[in-house]
Amino acid sequence: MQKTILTILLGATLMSVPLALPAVEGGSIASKVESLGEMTYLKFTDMRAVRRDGLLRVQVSIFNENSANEQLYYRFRWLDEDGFTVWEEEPWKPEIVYGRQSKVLSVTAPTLKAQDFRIEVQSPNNSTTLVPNPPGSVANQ
Amino acid sequence: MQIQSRSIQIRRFLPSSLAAALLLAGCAGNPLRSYDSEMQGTLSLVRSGQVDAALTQLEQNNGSLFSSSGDAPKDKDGNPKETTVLDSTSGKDILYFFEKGELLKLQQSYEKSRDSWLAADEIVRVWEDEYRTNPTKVVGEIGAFLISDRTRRYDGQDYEKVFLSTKLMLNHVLLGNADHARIEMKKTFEREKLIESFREKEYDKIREAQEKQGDKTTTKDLQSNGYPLEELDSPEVRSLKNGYQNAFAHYLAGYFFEQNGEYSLAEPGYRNALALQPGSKLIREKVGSVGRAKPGPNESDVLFVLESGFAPAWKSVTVPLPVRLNQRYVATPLSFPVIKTESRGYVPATLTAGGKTLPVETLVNVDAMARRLLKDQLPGIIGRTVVRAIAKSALQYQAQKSGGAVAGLVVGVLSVATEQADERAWRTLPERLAIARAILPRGEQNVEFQTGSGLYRGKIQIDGKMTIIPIRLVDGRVYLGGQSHTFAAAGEVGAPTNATTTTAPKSSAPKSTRPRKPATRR
Amino acid sequence: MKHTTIKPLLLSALLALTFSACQTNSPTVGGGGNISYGDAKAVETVTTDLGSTDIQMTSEKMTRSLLQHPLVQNIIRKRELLMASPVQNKTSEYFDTSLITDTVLAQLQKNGVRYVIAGANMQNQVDELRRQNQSGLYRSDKTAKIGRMQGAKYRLDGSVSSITKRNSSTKDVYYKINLQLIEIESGIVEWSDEQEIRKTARR
Repeated sequence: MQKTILTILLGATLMSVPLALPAVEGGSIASKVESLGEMTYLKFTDMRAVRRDGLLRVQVSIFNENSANEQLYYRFRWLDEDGFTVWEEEPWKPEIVYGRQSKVLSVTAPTLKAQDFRIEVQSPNNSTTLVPNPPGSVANQ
Repeated sequence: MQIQSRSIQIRRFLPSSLAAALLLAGCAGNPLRSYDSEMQGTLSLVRSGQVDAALTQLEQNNGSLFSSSGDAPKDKDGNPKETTVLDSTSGKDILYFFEKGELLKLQQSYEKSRDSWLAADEIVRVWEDEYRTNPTKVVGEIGAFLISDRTRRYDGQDYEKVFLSTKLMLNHVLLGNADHARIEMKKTFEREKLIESFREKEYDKIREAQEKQGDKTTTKDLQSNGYPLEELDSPEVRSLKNGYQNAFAHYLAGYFFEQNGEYSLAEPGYRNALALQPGSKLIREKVGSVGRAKPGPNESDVLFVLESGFAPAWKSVTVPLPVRLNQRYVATPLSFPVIKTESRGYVPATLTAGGKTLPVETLVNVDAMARRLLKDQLPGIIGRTVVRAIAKSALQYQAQKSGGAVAGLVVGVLSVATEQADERAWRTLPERLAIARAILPRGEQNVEFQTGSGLYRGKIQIDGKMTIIPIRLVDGRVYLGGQSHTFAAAGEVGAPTNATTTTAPKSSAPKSTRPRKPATRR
Repeated sequence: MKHTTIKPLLLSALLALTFSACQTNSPTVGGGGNISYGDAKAVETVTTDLGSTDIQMTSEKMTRSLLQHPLVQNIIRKRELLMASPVQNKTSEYFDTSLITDTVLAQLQKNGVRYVIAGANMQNQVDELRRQNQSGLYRSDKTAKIGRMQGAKYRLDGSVSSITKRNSSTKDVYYKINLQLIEIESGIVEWSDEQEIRKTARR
């Protein structure tokens, strides 16, 4: 349980076809991602999690299939083994993914208690479903 | 052709219209009054040291025609409050509160002065809120006004708005209220940002309106027709970044936060001040060395704030400009504001306090700020005035066509009465603001400086970790103030004081600091 | 085809019915104005000045970087003390840098790091100690004794700097926030990290 590595390597199209993985930290990419609206162009291509010095470390790769730049907002949620949140709500973080770029997000859990995680993502321009209040809503008129 | 003959008619009737204008100027609440001539008496009373009389005259000038004590608005505690233009149309305007606050400050009634300025601040805040909630509307109104600038509600010139919160901030410090001073400081800089954004939007809007009217009148046309544009183009005016940012406001923030141990807020204060006054040695020595020179246990960091002279007057000049009326260009007399220096402030080169000779540096030149502001706004004023002239001539043409000569005449008279540039301005504001600063031992200290008409000697009381000494110099007359409440600033560890803020008695404003020439008693 | 046209109609009719049946009121007072509560964690892009998102992101990054450092894990184990020095503000913005260090310390504290007060809070501490010991109002066995305060072993220091560029249509600000963990006795910088932020505004 402690030094297990979760490695998932998926093609962009495999988003909807979760691989049967040893239920280590909790399954496939899809089960870790909570997308606010479906993302057309931004795809998760890789996701790794490892526990080092007692802290959970997560690395996520995102690929922009579009040739134009895409704005991404994301944040992590940290959970204990029972699925309870063990850290306050994280701030939303803005990230630009250039056209055809593969971006790697590398984060470390803020607390030793974190055993599992979820990543919340939202991309204002390529969501097919309209999100009423995107995270970047505190903006100038 | 018709219009030209009309203007001859108007000229013939000018005396009667002048009389009407004079009549109108008589009543206080009237927007068409000549503010400049009204203030002359008040200012000369201040020059001769009669602040009480100046206050009385200010009240008389602003006395309401329809005063009724019954429905007077009350403040939070139920005490009757002075009506402002926000409460009713007969309420006092912002200028009254500007001037009154300044006169009360000369009397060292810092609390009353603060209250008066807070009333003025309320009016400025209404403008700010209007702009914040609906920027396009406020900016949009600029082009829409058919009447003269002077009939609009006066919200204060940009530099006056910033100066107002700077002065409020100073009063809060003098009264020993650190929390309010801090709030006021934040407000000052938010105000600066707001004005910046407003001016940017306004500039775009006026360009757009002028393009729509096909009007291409520029400042060059104004100059070639006799407008003294060169007066707005001195090196001092050009060296300013804009007409509203106040170097002293930022320096005061630096000083205040430094004394409070909040260095991360003091640093930008000094840095911004230096950006506005790049030549100042007093500011430069503070940038990058905040918190280095700390006063010892029985010392105080003393800031002398020397205000001098009176802010310039805004006057009206008439310039004939070719304006396109009914497909033809007609030379039309239009009025524009000019800045006229009335009482140049004298700033001594040095000031001696506690045996030390301190350099005095000018941080704010209100005269240059006013000129800079006018210079920046002139394209907008031209646009507005010309657009108005075109609209008015159309009105006159219509009136003449339908109502004959009489109706045309009425409109014409109205035009003359309303076509005067805005002369309103905060006149008791100093022309110059200078500072001197030193770490001095606490207790009573002698202070000495040149006034422009002789040497002034006085005594000041220094208490607490920080002391601000406000000095006002008007044509040789000196008003020396003092910290009415001291407060022990943070970081004073080890000094054997009691924990609560010491409140000096209100009469601690030293009696011995009266000007050498005693004020004439009434 | 028919189905699709009828369905929304029916639905809206139903909705209308339910709404008229039970008018639920939100638990709010006032309303009608322009004031509402927003998400404190939302990405704020009102101006190019340092804002809430910048503070949140910076302190989050710094905390995590600190936590990963073996020294900090050691500090937690040995219960050593930390403090925050005033972080220098080299920008021309009135930005209180203690907003960052306060958050970093608060988040570290959740992981067991202990820290002592410094700076502006010190005055209250000194005042209270004095009151308890010098006012003569307190029972001597229930007063906090003078001379027992503990000094920190490490201190957080750093700076915030910016470069601003602007032309007629664009304003671009680059911020660099640098934090360091310094052993007070030796002056050795044991850890340091920086956060870069770029903000661009167009007119």
